[in-house]
Amino acid sequence: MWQDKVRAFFLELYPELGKFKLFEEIREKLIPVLNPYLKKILRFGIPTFTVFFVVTLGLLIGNRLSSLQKSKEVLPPSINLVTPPSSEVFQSQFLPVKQAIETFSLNLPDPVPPVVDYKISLETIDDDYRF
Amino acid sequence: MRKLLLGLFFFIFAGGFLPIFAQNTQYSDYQFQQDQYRKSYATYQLFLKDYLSDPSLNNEQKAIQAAKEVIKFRESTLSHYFWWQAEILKLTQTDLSLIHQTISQLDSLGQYHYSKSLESSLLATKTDLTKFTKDNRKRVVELDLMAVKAQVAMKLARLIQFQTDLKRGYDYLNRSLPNQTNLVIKNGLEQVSTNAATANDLIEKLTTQVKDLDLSEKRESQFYEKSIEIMTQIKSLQSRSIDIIIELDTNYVAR
Repeated sequence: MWQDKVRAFFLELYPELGKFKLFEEIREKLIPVLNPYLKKILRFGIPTFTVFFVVTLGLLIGNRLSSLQKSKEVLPPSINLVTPPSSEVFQSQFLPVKQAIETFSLNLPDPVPPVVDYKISLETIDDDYRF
Repeated sequence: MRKLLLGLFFFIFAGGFLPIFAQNTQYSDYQFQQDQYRKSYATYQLFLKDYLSDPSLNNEQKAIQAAKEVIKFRESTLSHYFWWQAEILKLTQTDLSLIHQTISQLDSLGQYHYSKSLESSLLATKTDLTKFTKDNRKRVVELDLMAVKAQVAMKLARLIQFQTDLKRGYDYLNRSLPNQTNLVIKNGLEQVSTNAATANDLIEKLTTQVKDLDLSEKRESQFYEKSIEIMTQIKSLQSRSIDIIIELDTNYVAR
């Protein structure tokens, strides 16, 4: 019977279960079938998997339930604001010309010539040329 | 191995010259040369002072070397200054004989000073140096005349550009406001036209003044003052015209 098979499987994994009545009758008849290495994995793996499964399932159920209960959106009372009508300010295409004329400097000389010494010599040069 | 050595030699050789040609516009070249001039002039003054206090052969040689260096950078500074001016004038693209003439004069001024900067390397003695400076100063009046003319020509080119812009504005208004009976528009357009004619006359007057300039009779400051006077009148007319054009464009052209 499959119930006996399951009980035998669990008893093999957890010999502590032999204390219980349900497992007492099959304890003597139990023939170990599991590989010791696999047994060790299953012994600790099944509880870990169960815990993980239960937690995940719980979260999924909780998430689904919370999505069913939507809270109401809270909005501030509307204020009657007056939006000014958008009016495009016209700018003449000749404004840059006006600006260029206004900023044009009439100072002379412009650019100022470099200030240099034209009397480079070891002797005194006292002629009367310009500069 | 030989190729490697040649390559290395070229690299070192080029490395010495590259910084001088690192600048790529006339203005940055001018700034660079001016900076070099200032540095070399400070050195020259130190060596000259040493020479004047102790005129030994060693001090004389040091002072001559420093003087050669200053002359080289002075002439180079001036050549790049004039080439920079020529570049500015070329950019205005003004089709006026005076402007074309000024550009070619500025180019030759730059060329003259550049050749002088090369010539400075041949100076070896104190006498060479004095002769070079005296000969150079004999040409100063002639060179100065060209430089002064170029100054006014540059301003003139810009004013002519404004005239072209105003003409564009006037033509645009005539196209946009045809057969006008409105007195404001008619009057405005007439004023622009009259101002343009007066400005053109003044431009012509200034052009003649620049062409006929003789610095042996007149000081450059006087010439500048007279030129500024005429240019102020032109600018004032142009300011009035552009205000009218903008007013008509803003208030009367249908959109």
